[in-house]
Amino acid sequence: MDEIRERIKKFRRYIKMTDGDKVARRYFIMNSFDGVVTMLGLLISMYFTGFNSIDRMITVSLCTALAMSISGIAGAFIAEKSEREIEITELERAMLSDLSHSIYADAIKYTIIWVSFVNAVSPLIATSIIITPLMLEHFHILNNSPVYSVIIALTYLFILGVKLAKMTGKNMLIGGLKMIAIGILTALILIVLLR
Amino acid sequence: MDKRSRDINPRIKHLTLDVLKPHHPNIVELSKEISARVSGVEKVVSEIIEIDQDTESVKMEVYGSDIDLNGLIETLKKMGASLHSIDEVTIENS
Repeated sequence: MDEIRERIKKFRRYIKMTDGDKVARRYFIMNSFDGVVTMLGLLISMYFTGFNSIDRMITVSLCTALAMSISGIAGAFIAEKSEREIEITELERAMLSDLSHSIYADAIKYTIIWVSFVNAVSPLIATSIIITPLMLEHFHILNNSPVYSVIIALTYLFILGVKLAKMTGKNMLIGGLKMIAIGILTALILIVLLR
Repeated sequence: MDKRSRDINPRIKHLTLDVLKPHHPNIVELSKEISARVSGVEKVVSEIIEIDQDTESVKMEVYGSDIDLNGLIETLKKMGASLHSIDEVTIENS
């Protein structure tokens, strides 16, 4: 137990050292937003194109979420690794020394892994929450689940907007409503195109 | 052999170092690490002399009973810092 606590302490220290916590937070919000709006688009297009099988909706949604996760982890890993390599090279130039065996190099490795993980997991979390009504309908606990899923998606957007506004010291209600507006706009554009 | 030569055991009691380090880890973490990991160290006093975009120059005073200089250099390296110069040293025979 003490060893686990030490490892967590070390991990937190490393992430803070490289500002990885700020990067991960940014990626979490960005990719959650991507996940929610993508799911919203998927649900609306499936509904309006007569794609009524709940099981298939669940399958398509999960596959989309998985694809987004894989894209997220790969993209973040490559981008973050490149950025950090540039950063450490510039630092080595300024320090006139090799930092490859230093705590800084270790911290960068932890940061790359953490940021990639957050990038992968954030759309998955959003999707899992949004498709919960579909799962409930699959087990005959609920009806008209796509409607509830859309409501959950808009609520998720609102929460993301509130969180962002809180972080930046802005009005939380307006922040939440702005995000909902983006979701509604997406829905309206798709409905117009599909009709 | 001269009796005095047999009894001489020089120990490093104090060092003043010119260290260059990145912004992270900060001087508190660096000083704590040196105090914890380097044998013979009893006290570390660090002062930032200069800061630029990527690095900080630190004047570090290390006090102890028998400071392990090689260990100190290794710890500095491990923490991403580099030793520019040893500006002052106090050695006592025991």
